[in-house]
Amino acid sequence: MRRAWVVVAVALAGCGHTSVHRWVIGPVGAPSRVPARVFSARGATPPAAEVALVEAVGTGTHADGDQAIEALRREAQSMGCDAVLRVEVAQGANTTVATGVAARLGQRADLLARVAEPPPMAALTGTTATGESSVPPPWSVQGAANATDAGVSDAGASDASVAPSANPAAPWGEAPR
Amino acid sequence: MSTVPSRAAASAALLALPLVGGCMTPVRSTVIPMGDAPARYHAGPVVILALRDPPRADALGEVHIEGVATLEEAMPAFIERVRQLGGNVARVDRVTPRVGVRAVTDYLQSNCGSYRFPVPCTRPYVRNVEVIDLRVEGRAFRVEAAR
Repeated sequence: MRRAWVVVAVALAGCGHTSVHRWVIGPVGAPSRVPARVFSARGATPPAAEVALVEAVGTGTHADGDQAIEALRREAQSMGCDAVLRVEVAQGANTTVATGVAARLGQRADLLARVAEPPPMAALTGTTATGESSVPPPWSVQGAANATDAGVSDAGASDASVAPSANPAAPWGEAPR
Repeated sequence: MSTVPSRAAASAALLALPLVGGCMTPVRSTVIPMGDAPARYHAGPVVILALRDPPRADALGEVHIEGVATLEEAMPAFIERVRQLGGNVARVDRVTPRVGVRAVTDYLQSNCGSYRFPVPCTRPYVRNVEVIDLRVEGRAFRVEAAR
């Protein structure tokens, strides 16, 4: 009997999947334990420093708006963000997509870029919780992107180190040092 | 149980390829230039913003990207269109997800003959699949480097 339940549980777990995509546009921080707040695209946008565009796709039993938003929240926390702004959700019968902007509330991006210091190589390793190698850095000149399984995201130790921005140096002089 | 000769399967696949390919939606992009200055391609890096406009910037035009499922597909196309406008900074104003239904033609292979005289048949049928359509809207800017 117990074996039957295990089989059913495994079968149900295999019927859904959530994948998270991101496009980094600001300095990525160490994973944060602080729960990220979620702001709808239809409401006012609080002042914040943008870190990445994020997208969560749920299929099957994971095709649920709440789960997609939770995946966005976890992804934001894994980049040291405390908010997901401009969240929009689209639901189908078997697919749900949520998008948003992972950001740090109450910070201006220009100031954030100025204080950002490149972390030591040891600190870089594993800070994104995506399993990707940090050397060379996960961001490119045009902004890096990667897809992760939402379940992999892990809000680890909250460290204050902030990685340099994915974006190239802003032409108006906001280059991260 | 019917057995389908590999030749029939191969011909069905060849037949299906252009049909299915014709149903697939490529990346669609639109650029709406502002002003009448001719756009000069910008080959350098492009700064992406999402929550604010760049300071002291000249708006060059609007960029819309559609027909993609993920940010990894949308953003390179977005950046390329910004470059075509001559922009070195872009603001992503909105990323709107949609889930649509698209008809996909598949081919069912079966035996039309008898057990003793099997005749392979290929029959098209249409099924609906859900597809993600991400729409990225933004603006391209030109900011002269600070001196």
